[in-house]
Amino acid sequence: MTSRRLFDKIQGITISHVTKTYGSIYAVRDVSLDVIGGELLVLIGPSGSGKTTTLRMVNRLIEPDEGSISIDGQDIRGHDPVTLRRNMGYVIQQIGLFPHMSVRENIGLIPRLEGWTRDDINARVDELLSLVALPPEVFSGRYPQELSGGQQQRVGLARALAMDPPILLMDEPFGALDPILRMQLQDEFAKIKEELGKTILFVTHDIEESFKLGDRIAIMRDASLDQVGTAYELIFHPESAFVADIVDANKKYKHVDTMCVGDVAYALDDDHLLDGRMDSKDALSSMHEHDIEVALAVEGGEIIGLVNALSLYRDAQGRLRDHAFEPLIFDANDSLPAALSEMKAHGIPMAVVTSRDGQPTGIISMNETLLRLV
Amino acid sequence: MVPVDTLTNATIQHLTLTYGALFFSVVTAIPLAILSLFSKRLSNAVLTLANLLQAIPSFAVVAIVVPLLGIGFTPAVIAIVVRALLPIIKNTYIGLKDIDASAVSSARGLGLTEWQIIRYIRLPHSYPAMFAGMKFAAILANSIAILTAIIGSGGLGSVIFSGLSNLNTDKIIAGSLPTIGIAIFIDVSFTLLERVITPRTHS
Amino acid sequence: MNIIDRIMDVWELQQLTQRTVEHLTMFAIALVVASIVGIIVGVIVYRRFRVATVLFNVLNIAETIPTLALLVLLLPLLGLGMKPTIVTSIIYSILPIARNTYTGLTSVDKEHILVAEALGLSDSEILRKVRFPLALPLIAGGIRIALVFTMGVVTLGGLIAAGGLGAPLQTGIQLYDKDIIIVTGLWVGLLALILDSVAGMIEHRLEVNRDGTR
Ligand SMILES: Nc1ncnc2c1ncn2[C@@H]1O[C@H](COP(=O)(O)OP(=O)(O)OP(=O)(O)O)[C@@H](O)[C@H]1O
Ligand SMILES: [Mg+2]
Repeated sequence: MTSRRLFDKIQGITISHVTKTYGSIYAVRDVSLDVIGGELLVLIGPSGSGKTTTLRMVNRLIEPDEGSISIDGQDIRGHDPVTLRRNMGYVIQQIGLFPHMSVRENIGLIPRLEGWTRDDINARVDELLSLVALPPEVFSGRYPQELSGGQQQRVGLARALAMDPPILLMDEPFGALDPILRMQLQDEFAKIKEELGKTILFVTHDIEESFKLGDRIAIMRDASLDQVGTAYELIFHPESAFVADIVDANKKYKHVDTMCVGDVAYALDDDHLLDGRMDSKDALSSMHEHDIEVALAVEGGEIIGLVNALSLYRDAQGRLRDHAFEPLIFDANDSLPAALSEMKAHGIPMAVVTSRDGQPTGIISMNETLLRLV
Repeated sequence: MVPVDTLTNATIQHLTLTYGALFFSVVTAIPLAILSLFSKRLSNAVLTLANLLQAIPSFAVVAIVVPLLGIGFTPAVIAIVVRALLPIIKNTYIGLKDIDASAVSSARGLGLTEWQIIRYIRLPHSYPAMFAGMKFAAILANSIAILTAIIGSGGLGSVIFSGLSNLNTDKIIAGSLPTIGIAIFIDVSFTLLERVITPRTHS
Repeated sequence: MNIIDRIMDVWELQQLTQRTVEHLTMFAIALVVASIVGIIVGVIVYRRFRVATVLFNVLNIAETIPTLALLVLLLPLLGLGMKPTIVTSIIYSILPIARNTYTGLTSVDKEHILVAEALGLSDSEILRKVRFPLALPLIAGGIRIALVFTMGVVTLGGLIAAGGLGAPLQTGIQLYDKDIIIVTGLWVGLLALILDSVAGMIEHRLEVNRDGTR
């Protein structure tokens, strides 16, 4: 059986007033949430707050009692569940892998059911294993029991990506790993995520993980949604004591008041300066090569603007200058909270930092800054 | 038709054979299972033998008894015991052995002797498994007791075999039906017995 | 006469080669049919808890009926010979195979089923790709139990003119010929042990593969 490909890149997932009860217990209560195409939205909250239930309603493992969920405006109830699920990757913590199948068979399961040729399956499996940093010649023949926890988790991710689904659902994918391994996998995943450009709904218990990976964070409590926003918004404008408590705003960010922009800026070196006239694709590969997220487009010593790898990845057409956006500029000695507020007010997550003589010396990123303060 | 008193006598003989053999199986098997607790070699030997013998067809066991012990009631009992013994030993041993180690060590800590531990801790713990083994053994004994008529044990098997020799359907049915009734009786009575004897500890 | 000669004597006079072939033929037919039927029954009832409970209770009672009683009660229906022997073997063997198949299919970890659903496997794909392979060790265990039953019933078949190795056993007892009894009896026993250990090895292999400690 081959399933239709329902969507390539999606505009967004709209969760609208969904409620799910078990007996008299609300697992999810009147939750509305928009996931924007291409973003990673984190669902975080205490145990039993309804995160998993919300996630599972998106691929129809659970049907809501009330409300509806749509993707690109189409109600998901209009799709056959099996077809819908083959258009979404799903990763869970721990024993997600089938013990009676080798790594190759686990990853190639759905392609095989979709009737791919053996060669196509093998090529895809090799490609995915390389993506998750497992050399195929070593790992493809192994069975799940012969893998470490971290390796199993990578294979689980590779399997979820097998059909190149535009949507990924991840339920505490790194939850069962020890802290060091977890950090390593988070770093790797953060990179993979940029390359993939998928829309991801990600459940976690770990606030640092959500700052690190999430474009936006949705906080759940007692089956309801408390607040949705960027890390910045949650930290500096928590709408409830509960949210403030979860993001630990008071304890961790007290010292921010005394800091200045220069303390947290990334130093610029030549790799960060790209000629605005160069082809966007070349610029993107140069940024990947140097492992840079943000660069400065310059033309003849003039700053034209900032460019970031993610937006280039989504649309690498034309010249680099076409993608540059005008940066905010701060002096290294400006107060950090004031700078962050201004960035927030302009809705621009990046700014250029200059020295006294106006030379660009660094870049400051709002999310990165918050992360480094944690 | 089969005369009623012929059938009654045959049934009595069959029951004597079945329950007699079961009795001997139980009184041999339980001490053997307990003894096996004390010697790894004995337990290995007993369990291996039990597993092997269980795979061998009953007819072969009944036949082999003839050159060794001759024919008649006693060799028949022995043939049945050989088969019925095994499930009881195996189950009882597993029941005795398969107990929380901490229960045994705390009993030891309370000052119970090894014998008292077996008597008051291990044995009661093994009852469910032991009774399951006994039920299985009884059903097996009932089944083999028909077969042993071929080596002169008498009983309901004789009625069946004599019916078989001239294809007398009445006799075949008259001999078979009581054995089925007995089988169901065994099944039900052991299930009840199990409930009565192990009411609280394993509810 | 030395022992080898006496064994050869019995072997030839009682045509044990031919008897063994008959024996194994009945055995194989019964076991294959019982395995197919048993597995199919297990698959059919695995989602129907009520039906399964009733069915297994009935089969449990059937299982307590003495083999010989069932064998001879089938005579009026099926006549003498191989037919009632094979049918009786199958009746006894279906329960362990069907029950183990049922248990195997239903006891697969819920998490595995959930993941399979989430990946987009249909119900029949989950049955074929996840439940069934994971149930294989238990199914093999059920077939092994059935194998022992079948060996026992087929041997009894000798008493109702089905041939096989039960026939010379009966002859030996009737003639009170110790040589025939011992040679045939030991041969049947050996055959049963060999088949059981082969089945045991296969079962063990499957279990080990599932544990991944290969
Ligand atoms: N199948 C079910 N039957 C009954 N109650 C359920 C079921 N699934 C979930 N619940 C209840 O619904 C609530 C939300 O569960 P859910 O699994 O969505 O929580 P969660 O936020 O994912 O928690 P955790 O962080 O522990 O994974 C809990 O109170 C849970 O007990
Ligand atoms: Mg959860």
